[in-house]
Amino acid sequence: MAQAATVQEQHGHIADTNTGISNRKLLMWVFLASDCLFFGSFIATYLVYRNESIVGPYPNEVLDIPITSVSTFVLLMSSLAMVLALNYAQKDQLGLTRFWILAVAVLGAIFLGFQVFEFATFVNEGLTIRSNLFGTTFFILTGFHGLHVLIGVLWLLGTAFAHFKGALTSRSVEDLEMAGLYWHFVDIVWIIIFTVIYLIGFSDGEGLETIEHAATIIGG
Amino acid sequence: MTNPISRAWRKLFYQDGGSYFLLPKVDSSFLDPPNEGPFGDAGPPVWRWIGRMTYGGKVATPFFYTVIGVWLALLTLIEVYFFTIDAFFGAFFVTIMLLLALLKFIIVVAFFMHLRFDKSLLTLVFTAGFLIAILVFVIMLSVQGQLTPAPMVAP
Repeated sequence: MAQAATVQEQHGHIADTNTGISNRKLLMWVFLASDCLFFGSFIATYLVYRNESIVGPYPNEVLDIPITSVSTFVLLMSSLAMVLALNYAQKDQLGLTRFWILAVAVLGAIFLGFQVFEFATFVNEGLTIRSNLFGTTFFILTGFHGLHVLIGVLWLLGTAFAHFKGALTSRSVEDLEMAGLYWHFVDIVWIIIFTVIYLIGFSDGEGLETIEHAATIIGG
Repeated sequence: MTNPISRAWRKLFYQDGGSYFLLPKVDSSFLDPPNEGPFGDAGPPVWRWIGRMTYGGKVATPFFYTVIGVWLALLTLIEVYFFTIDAFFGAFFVTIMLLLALLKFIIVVAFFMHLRFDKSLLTLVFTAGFLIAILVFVIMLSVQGQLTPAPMVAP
């Protein structure tokens, strides 16, 4: 208890609530837990309709692993930049805090650039949201993830702007922590998407069972 | 704590035994541990060395987080390398890739999102949402046959 009290005095992180956690932070975690359901449903839908497309383009024709690996690396490093920004904010090092917040926003924007490039390439190769089940489930899943990244970039730019306008206070450190939690969540969702859709699902081609079923319908 | 087996058991399941794993809840009320390397004081000497290297006083150092970031990058490289030799793993390929993704997921949630160092209620809240999401996932895949539409031939 004495140690806990000392720590409390040193850090001052204990919120004056029943849980000892600030209500905003608890609410953010509840939101992130609910967002798990949001993306979990989309990923499950993708897998349910995996190998069910009867017309191309199929995943093994359009997915580009080297480019997506680079964009995944960029997003991972943006998470590192985010935690460094919060770390420096907790130490009241304002200059480094601003630098790393902007670094996160820039890395997030680069990731979005990769995604726009990928989407444009897919459309040029004939894969749209209406082409087949792969296109529908893929664009919905990765599109909503991209929307989350866009919101995160705008949020961080707003936070950086606010920090340029005024001094960093204990309140704004918590603001930055909220933005950080959201950003890391976007990162972990991409970790799952990259593995499941890109690395595991890369070899997906024509669904043979579906083709046989379609042939049965056409034939008879 | 007399023999290696009981020591290993404590490190596996108890927080107060210098546990191998850092993810289980800790009854801490501070954001960052005062002296917590990526593996605490558990594990082989090299991890204790890293723990000392990342010691930052009241809060974790930027180097601490950089080490975590390097691990994440290495795990991604391993994932992509395994992808290129997927035939080598055969039927275990999917399992191995999912385990690697889960490892990265846990590292980000535990360290970057500070769940390892935060109040356990937050871990409970997030784990509940994640497990319900997995449940939805399993239910959807288990009724896959009913969800799959009859194939339609493009006009």
